[in-house]
This record gives sequence, structure tokens and C-alpha cells, in this order.
Amino acid sequence: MKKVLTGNQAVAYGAMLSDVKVVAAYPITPQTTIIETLADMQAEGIGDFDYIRVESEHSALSVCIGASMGGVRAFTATSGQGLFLMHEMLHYATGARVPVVLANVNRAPALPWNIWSDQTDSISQRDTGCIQLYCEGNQEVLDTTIMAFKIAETVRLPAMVILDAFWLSHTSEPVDIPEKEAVQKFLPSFDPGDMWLDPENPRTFGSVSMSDVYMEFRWLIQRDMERAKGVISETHTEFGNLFGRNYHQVEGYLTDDAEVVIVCSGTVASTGRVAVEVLRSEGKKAGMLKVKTLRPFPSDEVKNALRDKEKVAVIDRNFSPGAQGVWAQEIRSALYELADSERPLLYGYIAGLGGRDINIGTIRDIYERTSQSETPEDADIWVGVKYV
Amino acid sequence: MKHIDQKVPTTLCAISTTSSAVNKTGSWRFSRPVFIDSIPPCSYECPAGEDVAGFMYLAANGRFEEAWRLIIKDNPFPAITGRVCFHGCEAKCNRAEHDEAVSINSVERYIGDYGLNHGLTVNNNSAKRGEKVAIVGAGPAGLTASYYLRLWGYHVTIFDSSALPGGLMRYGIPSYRLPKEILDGEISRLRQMGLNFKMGTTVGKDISWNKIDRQFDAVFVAIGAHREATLKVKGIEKKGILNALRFLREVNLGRQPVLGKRVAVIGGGNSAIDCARVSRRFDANVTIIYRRREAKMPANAEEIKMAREEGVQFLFQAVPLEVCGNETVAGLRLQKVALKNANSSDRGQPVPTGETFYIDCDTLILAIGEDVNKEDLPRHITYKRNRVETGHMGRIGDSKFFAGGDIIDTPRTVTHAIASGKRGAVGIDRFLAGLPLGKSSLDPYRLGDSENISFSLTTSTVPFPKRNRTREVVNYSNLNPFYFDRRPRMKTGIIPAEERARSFQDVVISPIEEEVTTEARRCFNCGSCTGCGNCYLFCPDLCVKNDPDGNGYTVDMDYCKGCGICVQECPRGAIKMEFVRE
Amino acid sequence: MIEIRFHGRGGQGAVVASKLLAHAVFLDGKYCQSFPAFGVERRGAPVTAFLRVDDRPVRVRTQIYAPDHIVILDPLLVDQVPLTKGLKPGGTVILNSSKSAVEFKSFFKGFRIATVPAAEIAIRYHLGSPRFPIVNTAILGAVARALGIVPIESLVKAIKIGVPAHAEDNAEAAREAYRAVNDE
Repeated sequence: MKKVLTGNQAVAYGAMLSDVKVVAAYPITPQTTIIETLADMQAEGIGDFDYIRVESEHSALSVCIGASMGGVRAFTATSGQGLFLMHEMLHYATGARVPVVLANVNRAPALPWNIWSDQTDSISQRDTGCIQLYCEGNQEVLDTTIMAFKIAETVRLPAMVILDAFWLSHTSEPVDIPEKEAVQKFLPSFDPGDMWLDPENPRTFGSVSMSDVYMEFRWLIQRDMERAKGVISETHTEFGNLFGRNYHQVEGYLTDDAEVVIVCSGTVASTGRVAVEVLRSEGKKAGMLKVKTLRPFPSDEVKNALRDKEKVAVIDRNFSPGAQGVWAQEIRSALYELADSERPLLYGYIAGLGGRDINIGTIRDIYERTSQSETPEDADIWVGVKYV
Repeated sequence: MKHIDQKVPTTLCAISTTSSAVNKTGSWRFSRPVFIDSIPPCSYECPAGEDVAGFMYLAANGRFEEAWRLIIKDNPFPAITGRVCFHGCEAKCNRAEHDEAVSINSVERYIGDYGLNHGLTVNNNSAKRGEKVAIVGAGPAGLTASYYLRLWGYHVTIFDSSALPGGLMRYGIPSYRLPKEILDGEISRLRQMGLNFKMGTTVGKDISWNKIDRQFDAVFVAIGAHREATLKVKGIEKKGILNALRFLREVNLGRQPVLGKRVAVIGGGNSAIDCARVSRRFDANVTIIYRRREAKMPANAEEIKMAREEGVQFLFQAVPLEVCGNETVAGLRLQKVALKNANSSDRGQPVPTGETFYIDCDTLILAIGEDVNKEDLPRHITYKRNRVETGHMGRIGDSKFFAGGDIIDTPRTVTHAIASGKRGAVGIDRFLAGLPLGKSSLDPYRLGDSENISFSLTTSTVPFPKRNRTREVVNYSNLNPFYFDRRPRMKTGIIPAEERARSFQDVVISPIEEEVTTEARRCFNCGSCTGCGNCYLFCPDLCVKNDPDGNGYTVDMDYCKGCGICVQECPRGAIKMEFVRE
Repeated sequence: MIEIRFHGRGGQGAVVASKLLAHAVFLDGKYCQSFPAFGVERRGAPVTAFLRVDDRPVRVRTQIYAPDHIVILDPLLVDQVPLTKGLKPGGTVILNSSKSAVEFKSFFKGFRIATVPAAEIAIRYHLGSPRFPIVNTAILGAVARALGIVPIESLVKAIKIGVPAHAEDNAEAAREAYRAVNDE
């Protein structure tokens, strides 16, 4: 059934269709309408889950971890400062190997206060062991929420569905809502195996691990993160076969003969598709590469997609103070493995922080700068910053 | 990425591979939790020993019939005491330290009325007994004794000189405090139990005490105190001087009293207040004259407040010197008194100051107390400070006679009378069974060191499991107030003063169900396990379990480490730690 | 692709108007994208909302700088907000006003003008209060007529599904406004 939905409503539908059993959340703009929609669904009996009000995001994720350890599917949603407050429990969720799914509506970090789109909040969770899936449209948001449960439960790691503040969260557009039966076929009930708090079989969870085994548990996280790359691809394929909508960890658009490949994530990828079409219509050889997953980082796909390209421009709607935009760093690292002859020049651009518009003009500007430059002079270029 | 070490964890995260049940952490224990049942201060204070925490819990859940049945285990007249009891329970309520005491009285009143309105009757199915018991005096003490004795199967005959049963509840308490239909309703329930009433029969006159002695296996005497005290002042023989009890009796019989326009009432007890308020209802100007200060008045503070609202004047620290007037009262000459040694514990001794003054009045009501009329009682009775001398359970000497109510040494309230009737009934029951009547005989029913006895708290498992009954009274520091929000006490609806001073209707507006359940929810249920589940939820070792017999919770001692969290988190002090000396 | 910008004041329903119109064109088989100006909205403060309509999925996710049409829910904004900023030459201005379109000709030079007495209609249908009528559904009726981007029946259907209360009154207000449009 097709409906006009905001991105936040799409998240709520995704969670509800995934038959979550526990939702715990704390409101924060621009996430709030996700949990409001879920609360309505619960109240109206559309969703059969417990909705638990908590006093903070830290508790929200804690409740979800507990629920998941209790053997049921759990979901939460947050944004910006709320995600920062969850940070400790994200590490915990990974260590506990609970497949909690959360939606994060990208919001810029304070100070100054800003509720608009910026990836710095989710990027800051890069090293928690949480799978990160960035979306470009409301349909992808809904579909990814469902897929996130499958991926998370297969590798027993938490997963985060990420959508841009307002550009998706508060933007309405047509979304195809799958039938619940079809979703259930794709995503059967959560089977915790024997990793759950079974009162009939009491076991110690999360006890102290001395240095003789701690590293091994961390290694298992890494092993399964690596495994997740394959799982994500398989899940994308299976979803595409069932629902006819195809997603990829790395997706090239008009890149085959591109002289400059612009790497985008989130909604910038959506606008990026139009931008390269416009540039092509002007006779310019532009291409766009959308990267959907930050963790696990699809370095092989990135490498293959960019091998032998002349120039790569990475747009980061985030930055790591004292270093560069994080996508640029990740891609630069991946490209290091290529031979010198195959390795493109990499240009890092910081753009759109705090919700500043990244429009076709911005992307054209990035293209032109990259195209005209012989070699990257700065590690990153701040697009449109008024005083530098 | 390659993994080198040979030892790989067999689980994804740190989970024990064997059941942690093998680790019997109970062996780490130095102390252990014990579920206890301590005494709530309200019940400790209640002369009738009612299970307040229990009926509050039932009322909070709308289980009014069960609440009523719980109360009548200890008090056959909840609709009466819900109106006239001075609720010492509320003064001791732990909630008072939290915000405000629970309005126990209002909830009891509602439950009592619920019983009347729903025609609830007493389940009387105990085996019938052959013994016959005479009850002399159909006041609260006598009726209570007859209620219990009948409940236990005895043949009970009640003698009373008045036309209708109730004693002072009928002839002493004005109907604006206790409507007659409430009294009649409560007594008619007793009638249905098969009591034999011999009204209009004065024992010692219409039937001799000897005959009573011969015909009955035991006798309970509760005829009340009726000998009027009088003042030794000049002019006390004049017309227009009334005795409080007789005045109230006239009014309660529906007769128009001979009352002037300016009434002076002498006394500081509840009768004085009753007389004053009744006089106001006959449109008189009323002044109460009391020799001590207001704070020292024996009368109930709420009654004093209502009297004042209704226009009763007060004159404190004054004593009458002379009743003025020719043949009838025309005024009073009074002397101011000072109080010697008055402090928080001592009411103080009034000493004359020599300063005199005069007030106008045409009626004088003496509400200065009554004594036991020894002529009305059998000759073998002995007295101590003008009260009938009795043993521990109201027994008079070694006889088959037991006594209760205002003739014995007990505070003169309806609730104390009920308590004495109950105690006497237990005494008679034991006496007829040939059991000892010593000091410790009542221990199984006593709440700690209190003289009051409670059947509900000591014998009933409704609504809470009662285990390991302690002799300790719960105080606020035994509770975990974190679990109780702060909410104000319910407002009792009182009819406006101008309106009440014109009518003999009940001055209190009956609360509605919602008010009552809300108020009952304020009760901490001190010292009782209400099955709230905190210990169950908080136990880090999952060793608190639901008792399979539905008797609250049990602790699996194989695993209890004795951490004490359950004790800390119990909102109502129903668990304690006990040092292990194994 | 058609881009429309809505101007209103917090509480008048401009954001909902853009959503309802998105629903309407969607019901008519078109693609749409509706979003508010992401600000800190307050009752009475100037508010803008946007709508893109296309025959294929809308992929561009940026602000609208050069709308094809603008819809003005409150005529008082004329003095406060640069309403026609970026409006494409020959674009349409749809204005809530009881005056005729001709009267705004000099003010909105170079644009097509359509007026509709949306406030009067909203008051007639008890939408909002007489002091603060909620005009969004009425003005949408005028948009449907003046722009011809959606049949009135699709709009009415979208309104009935989408408004939180008084569905019939809102739908009727839209119908009446549809009939009451005044253009040059």
C-alpha cells in the first residue's frame, strides 16, 4: 500500500512491521514524531508491543538491551544529543551482543544549539560496534529499518538506521508500505538461540573478563562485523527479490566513464543523482558514488568502484576536528590499498553542517573545483564558509 | 585478519557456559531476610484493634464488602464508629510524617454505610452452645459482648431498662453526630443474629440480680454511669439547672427541652460540647465555661471547632461561685482561676485568683461527668476509685459476672466500650470453657504490649499473609517513603455552620466512592506485605519467589546472599534482616 | 517538476496545506515531496512550507529557491515577508483575500494573480475561530482551481483523510473556495 509519509513515520512503520516487542524512547527533536507515531500505533493496537517511557536516552537504550537480552525484538530512536547520551550503552549493546535496532535522525551537535541535519552525531558512534546504515529517501528508511533487524539478528550486533533531520524526518513523500505478512516471511520472529536471560536456566551474563579472554571477545565482535558485510549484501539481495527494491552498500551512478566521482551519503546522494545528471547534460563527466554503510565499512566495494578513477570528491556533512571529514578519511584509507597507478586523487569537502543546504549548485561547485584542481592542496575544503 | 590463540571463547559474549544455579550463593550469607508482620500504629492505637491497613487495602481496590467483613471481626458497628469514634488512629498515622494522616475515619464510615446500604449480614455459622449468657445493659459494650457471644454460639439475653437498645449511642449522642437510622440499622443486624432482647426491664428492680445469677451461666454487666455529679455552689438548687445526660436524653427522645435564651454549659468534655451544640439548635445563645485552657479540654478538637463555628462561645479558666436569680437561674457569678503546674503532660491545677465576674444566663447545664450508681449493681461488686473493680478480662472477682463499658476503669468512649465488650466476651467464652483468665490469656489476640485485642490482625490472613507476627509497632523510619508520593488528605465534606446549627441532620457529608478509594490508596499499609513485588523485582539473585500457596513471597535460601536489598526496597517494612547464627 | 511555496503564519496551517496538497497529487498518481521550512515555528510568526510535484520520483532534496507558484495564506504578510523572492516570471500568486485579483496587479507585477476569500469561507465553516480562522483547506481549493494541478475530487479526498478534525467542513470549504476563485 502506498502512502504519503514523512521519514519519521516511515521509521515507525518499519519498526511496527518488524513486529518489535519493546519500544523504549525519550523524545528529542527531530526524532520525536517517530516515537509519537509508534505510541499511537501501540495505543490503537496496530502494533503489538510494550511502549516504555524512560527518563533519558541512556535508559531508553538500556531498556532495549534488557528487552533484547530477555529474548525479544527491541527498538528505540533518537537524535543528536540523545545519541551522545546513549553512547555508553551502545558500546554495552555491542559487548552484550544484543541486536537492538535504533533509528537516529542526524542532528548537529550543540553548541551552538542546532536541530538541523549533520552527521556528526552518528559518526561519533563509529567505534561502538554498531552497524550504521545511511538512507537517502523515505522508502529506503522504511525498508532499511526492516532489514536492520535481520542484519543485526544474524550477526548479533546492534544496528542504527540513519536519516537526515528534516530532509527526511519531516519531509512527506510517497512510500510503499509492505504487507505485514510479507515482512514476516522476510523477517521471522527473533530467535535469541540460547543467548537470553532464561529464568529456567540461570547463567551469568556480562561478568568480568580478565585480560586473558577480553581480547578474544573483542575479536569476536570484529569477526562478526566483517561477516556483516556479506550479511548486509545477502539481506539487500533477499529484500530486493521479495519486494522489488534494491539497495547496495556502495552504489555507483553514472560512474563508468566519470572523471570526477562525487562520494555522497544520506540525502546528499539523492540530490547527487540529479546533480550529476545536470552536469552530464552540460557535457561534464561527473559520477556519483553512494555509500550506505559506514560500519562495517565496505572497503572492497569502495576500492573496486573507485579503482582507476581520476579524481574522487568526498562530501562530508560532518567533520572530525583536527582531522578531516570522516567519510573522506575512511575512503582514503580504503584507497591506500590500491596500487599507485590505480589510485585516484581524493578531495575532501566539508559541506552542509548544521542543516546548511547542499543543493545542485553546491555539488556543481564541488565538481568544478575538483575538476580544475591538479592536486588536492588541503586535506579538506570547507564549502561556502563565509570567513576563511 | 588472523586469529592465533588456541583458546577461543565458546560464547559471543561473557556468558557462563554452565548454569549459574550450581553456584549456591546462599553460603555467602551473614544475615537473611525474614518476612514479618509488624503492628501498624493505627491498629495499635485502636481500642477495637481494627486491621486498618487491611481494610484500607480492600477499600482502595473497591472491595468494600470484604473490607466491611474485615472490620466486623473486631467492631460490630463500623457505621457508628465511622461517625463518633475520635480516631486516635489518625493521630498515630505514619502518613502524618509524610504529608497528612490518612482519613481513616471517613473510610471506615463509608465502609460501614456500605454494609448498611447493601444489607450485609453477619455469617453466623459456628456450632450452637448450650450455655446461656445474660447481658445487662444494651449500650455499645453490652451489644458488642452479645454480638461476639452469639457469634460463638451462646444463648444471649440482653436486659435494658430503656425502650430501645443502644444506650448512650441512642440517648446520649445527638443525632447530628449519629443519625438514629444508622444506629437502628447497625443494631437490627445484631437482632438478625438471634439475640433475645428484654427491653424495658431493669435488672435489680423488674428482675433480681439473684435470679439472673441463677438462670444464666455467665453475666456481662454494662449498665453505664448515671449518677449525676453536682456542683457545690450557692444557688445550685434553683430552677433552670439541667443535667447534661438527662438533657441530651430528652432531646434524643424527641421531646422539646425546657431551655432559655441564654444557656451556660459547665464542663470541658464531649458532653459539654454536645449540650452546647444541641442548645444552639434550639436557637439559644450558648457559652461553655471551663476551668482550664482550651488546649486542655478533654473534648475532641474537631468537635470544639465545629461548636465554635456554630456560634458557641467559650469562657476559659473560670469556675462558678454562685447561681444568681430568685427562684430560677438569672445569671452566674464566676471566679477567674490560674493554672498551676500546667504543661504538656499535666492538665494543671486551677487555683482561685479572687477576681470575680458575672454573666447573664437563664439556663445552666452541668456537664461535669457522671459516676457509677452503686445501688443499681449487685452487692458483691467491689469498687476502686468509684469504678467496678475487674480482673484482666473484665471478670468481677471469682464470680460469673463480667463488666464493661462506663462502669469499669476505661475511657468513656463508644470505641472503648466496644473494646471492653469484646474483652468481656472473650473472658466469658474462656470462663465457660473452663480456661484460665490470667494476664497472658489474651496474648494471642493482643497487638504487642497494647491492652487492645484484635481478631483480624491476629487470626485473619485476609487481605495480607500474616507471618512471623512481631510485637513491634511500625514507625515511619521503618518504611521506604520513596515509594509513596505526597498527596493531601481528603477533604471531609462538612455542612456549612449556619445550616448545621439549624438542623439535627448529620453534619458530615458522606464521601463518595472515588474519594474513599483515593484516600484508601494513601494508606501505607504499614508492616504488611501487600504483594507489591518490590522484593521480587529487586532481588539480584532472583531468589525471592512467589509463594506457591499464595502466601506472599518466599526466599530461596540456596541463593540468597543476604544483601538486604529486599529489606531496603520494601515500601512498608514487612521484611527484616536477621543475623545468621548457624 | 512544479515547485510551490506556501506562506502563512504559525497556526494557520501552511505546513498541513503543503502536506494535504502532496497527498492530493499523490492520489492523482503523481509524485510529490512536501516539507516545512525547518525552523522553530511559533504561533503567529511567518511560516513557509514547500511542495514539489512531478511525474517521476522527486530525488532532489534541497530547499526551493525559485518556486513556480506561491500560495499566501495571510494577506498581512505582504508587508512583512519578501513573498515573491525567487518566484519564476509568469508564476502564479494565490492569495487569501476578499479583494479581486486586479487590485493586486501593481503589487505582484509580472505574475498571474488569483484571490480567494479563504478567511470568510473558513469562518463560515467554523474552521478555527472568527479571530483566527484556519484557512489552509479553503485556500487549497483555490490552488486546485488556479493551478489545475489536481482535480478537486482528489483534493477533497486527501482533505478528508488528512485533517485531524471536521473533515466534512474542511472538504466543503475547499469546494467552495474552488468555486470562489477570482483571477484576472
